[in-house]
Amino acid sequence: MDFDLTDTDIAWRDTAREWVDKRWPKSRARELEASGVLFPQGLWDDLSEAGFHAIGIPEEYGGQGGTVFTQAIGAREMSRNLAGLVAVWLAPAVGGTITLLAAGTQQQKQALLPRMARGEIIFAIAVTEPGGGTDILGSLRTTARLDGDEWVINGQKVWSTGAGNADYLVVLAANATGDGTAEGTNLILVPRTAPGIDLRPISKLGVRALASYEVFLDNVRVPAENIVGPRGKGWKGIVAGLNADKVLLSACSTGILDGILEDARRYLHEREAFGRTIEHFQALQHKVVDIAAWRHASELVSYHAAWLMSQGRPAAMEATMAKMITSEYAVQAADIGIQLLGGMGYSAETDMQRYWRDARLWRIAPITGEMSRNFIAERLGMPRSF
Amino acid sequence: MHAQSEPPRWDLSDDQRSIRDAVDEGMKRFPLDYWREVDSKATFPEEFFSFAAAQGWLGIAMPSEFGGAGLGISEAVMMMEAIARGGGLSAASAVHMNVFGTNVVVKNGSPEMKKQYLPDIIAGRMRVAFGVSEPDSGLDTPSLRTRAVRQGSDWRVNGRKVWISTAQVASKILLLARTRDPEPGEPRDAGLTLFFTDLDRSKITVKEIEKLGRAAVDSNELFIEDLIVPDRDRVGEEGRGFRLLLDGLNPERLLVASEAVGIGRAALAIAVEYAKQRHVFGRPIGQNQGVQFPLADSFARLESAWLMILRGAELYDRGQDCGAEANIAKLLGGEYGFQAADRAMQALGGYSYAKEYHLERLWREVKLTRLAPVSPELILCYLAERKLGLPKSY
Repeated sequence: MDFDLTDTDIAWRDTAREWVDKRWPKSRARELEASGVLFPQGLWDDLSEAGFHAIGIPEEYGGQGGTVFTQAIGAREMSRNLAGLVAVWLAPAVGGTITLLAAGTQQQKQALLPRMARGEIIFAIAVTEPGGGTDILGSLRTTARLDGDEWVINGQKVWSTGAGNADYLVVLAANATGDGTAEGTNLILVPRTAPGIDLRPISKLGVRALASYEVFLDNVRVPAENIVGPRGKGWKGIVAGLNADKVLLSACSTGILDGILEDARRYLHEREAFGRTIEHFQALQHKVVDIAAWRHASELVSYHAAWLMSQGRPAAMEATMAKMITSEYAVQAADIGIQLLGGMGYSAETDMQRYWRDARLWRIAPITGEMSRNFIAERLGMPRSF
Repeated sequence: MHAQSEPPRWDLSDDQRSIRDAVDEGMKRFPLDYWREVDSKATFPEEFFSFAAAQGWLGIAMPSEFGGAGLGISEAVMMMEAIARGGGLSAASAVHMNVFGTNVVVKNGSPEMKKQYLPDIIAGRMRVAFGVSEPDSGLDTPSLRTRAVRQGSDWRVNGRKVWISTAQVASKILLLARTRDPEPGEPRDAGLTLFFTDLDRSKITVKEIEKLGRAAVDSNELFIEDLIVPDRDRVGEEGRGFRLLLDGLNPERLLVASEAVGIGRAALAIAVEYAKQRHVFGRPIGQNQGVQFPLADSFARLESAWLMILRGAELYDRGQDCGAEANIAKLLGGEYGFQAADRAMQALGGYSYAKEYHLERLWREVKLTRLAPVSPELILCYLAERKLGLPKSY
């Protein structure tokens, strides 16, 4: 087994690390959150300027190449400072790039991917519905009906991250037939400014500088060629993104663990109480060691799942486990991090509370820890329990 | 040390029951949406505070001669649990200081001081900030650096305080300052003196701290520069201020524990209702063991913490030592209250992340009960030393 990163990967890791420390230190992420913006446009633009949107896009489509493993390396480094805000980079990469690469037509890829690589267009995923998060297909109420050379879409979506600033919403809808029944699903690129779309930002616990939206679609008409993948088989494009999403989020959790460990060690080293720095106290040392061990385990499972995917090997269970374990470690570590900082951990001037609120999302989305366990239990051969 | 005469009383008294019912009824006027709004606007819940004062809630444990109800901590924990269950820590912290914070004045203040101020505190006409914590002395209070220097019949005070709640809206402050260094052989806390004085904004700069939760009830950093405090504002003997505060630590822990349990129960109630209503994969999600067991387990844990609170309160009201019970109650209340909120969030899934469903606020707020007024680690130190006889570890 070779656990070493290649020279190329190490160079990319160092580049990402230096970039985020120079351009987006933790303090800037805190300020952005406090400013109350709904979209971190400056961050998006900086990522464009650095060429990072081109990562994971093949060179033939104007990208820099690279796999989900390359993306995972960057996601980890950036999350150390940006925490959940790194979703501004990842969500369009998953919902747009990976989906199009898996299911888009040659024409779609040629038209959209070079622009995505330059940061000129933004995609937002609009798949989840109010009636059911994990049970995407069972709860799907949004419909797409073909009327001449246009799709007519009606329904409601929720938790569409970045939708307010996106150029395209990647909408999953039931494929409505002439007799009113549905056969399969359609995945459709819907221009955000199309008439009939209404967006409402959701006020939420974390990742506050990047809003998620409720999306209302009322007789929204888009050209027939905006469908991604064959009619009735929209699921194909979604599945490709689902596992990549889990892998990348496990890298993000690892990055948050990096940030927690770094902040905890600095604080314990500087803070004095009872006549010495508090890093002398055994109980606090043990907590830091726990965090370091969780970070190490997270690094291994996330890189392993990313590596499997990058090799084109099956990784559904590994990706699900990695997302589940690392998100739980990250939240628990941030929780302890707040305890280690005491009152300062509760202050919005420090980052533990931001890590804690942001990482909390990944215990819930894109699939809860509980549903992850159900999925893995079935994979292990146990009967379906739900 | 422990009760020689009366056995513990397991039933709630009529007073306790009627207080809980009355507070539950009163809190209906301030539903969760009200608390979400004051949280998002970060404004002090004045309407609620006035209502609590008018209902006599603020004076529940204050002497009747000053307008209080003259009841004990056993009744106060019932009230605070119900307030926190209704509105979270935003609600509890809005009244917390008036309910018990000035107990040290009741016990040690001069007759003039008590007559002049206690009725206003009980009636909600006056709010008091508790000025003890400092940037470099969170849990190690004797190391605090604020100094009060004699100047004729006055004291001149200089220093910094941090995490001072309600200093934006308070007109009075309980201030702990060093008036002399400890003599050789004296404990480190000797020389600390307590004052109950005007929060004079021309001498005290109050800077609010942006924080994770409980935005409606402000927390602040205080910069005290040449504050003149008349000696008549001194509480108790000079140099013994810290000792006076120690008496209030146990009831304070019991009240915070009851608030944590109240918040945990509020979160649990939201999750249980949701788990019954929400149908996925053809049945209510509460039918899944993966959903219902964590909720049932939290119910059990909250009940166990609650019994510890009631036991500690009863001992305190009887004038008996309740140090272990109060500390255990605060430890369990904070941990289990938080765990209940955390598990409730998992039951709601994505919606728990949206402010509209209240859980994220309860989760952020209950976290504070694990940090203040004392950390779980220091409680474990206390139990290890005092109850298990293990050597001091710090």
